[in-house]
Amino acid sequence: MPSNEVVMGKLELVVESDNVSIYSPKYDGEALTEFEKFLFISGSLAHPQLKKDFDAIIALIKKMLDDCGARENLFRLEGNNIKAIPLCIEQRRGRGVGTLRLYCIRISNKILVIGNGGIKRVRKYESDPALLDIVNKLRSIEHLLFIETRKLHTDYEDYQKVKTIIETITL
Amino acid sequence: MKKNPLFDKCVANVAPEVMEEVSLNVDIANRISDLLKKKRMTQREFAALMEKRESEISRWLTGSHGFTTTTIAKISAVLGEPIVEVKKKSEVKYVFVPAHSFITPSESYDGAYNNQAHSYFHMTYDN
Repeated sequence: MPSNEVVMGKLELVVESDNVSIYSPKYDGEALTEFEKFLFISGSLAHPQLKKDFDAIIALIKKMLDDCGARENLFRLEGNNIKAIPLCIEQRRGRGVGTLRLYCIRISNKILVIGNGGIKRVRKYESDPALLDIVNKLRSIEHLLFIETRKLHTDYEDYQKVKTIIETITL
Repeated sequence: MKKNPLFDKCVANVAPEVMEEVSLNVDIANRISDLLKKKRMTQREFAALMEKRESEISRWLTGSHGFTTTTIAKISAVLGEPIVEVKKKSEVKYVFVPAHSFITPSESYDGAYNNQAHSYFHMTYDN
């Protein structure tokens, strides 16, 4: 779905624990959230290194849910508040295998918005139209959340107010 | 609290040793991050003390690095506090609790209940 099309959507609570609430965009007419689409790619990851990347990403999200929340230090900044969940198990890679990336907006320790991801085979995600589209969609969402948060004279650390904004916002 | 069956299925497919490795790496990363904050040390200062590039320290803090014991020892020395602790064999300890026991008439010389013997009982616990 190219980002220049007008598509409505909302942010859906995907999974939640005492430590963190994880939301993901869900666009009208689609059955899955962006994060769920990412979860489905595991079946198509033929290369064992990419499967390991996937498992490491899942293990990290599970750790955040069960234990430490979305601590800032655990993310890799991709510019303009967009973060990527990094790989936790490093492997020497064969040429052309790429690395699996999952992009998200870290709001606070307690709120995370996860988008889609994909295999990054280029040095910068900007060179890959599919990854760039994922990041641009997240940027638009982050901009909307920022504006709504400002309107309420609050900031991202106000868990209840930000949660209300996220659960009522139209993308 | 909300669960997601698809996510739970993905979690179930991750090998336990991978879960454990990620958890350990994240715990170490969080510990270093907390110590840097506590000591008001910047990543740049820490990188200089560790003789590493700042980008490498930044990667360490994301939990995406498998640390060797040599590196952990050096971090510990630089920050002046332990990074990981290994559980040692438990040691049985005793707590002595003072207790009063009344001597029954058959045990006492005066046939009354008013004599007391001071004694202790002890409880054991593992640390």
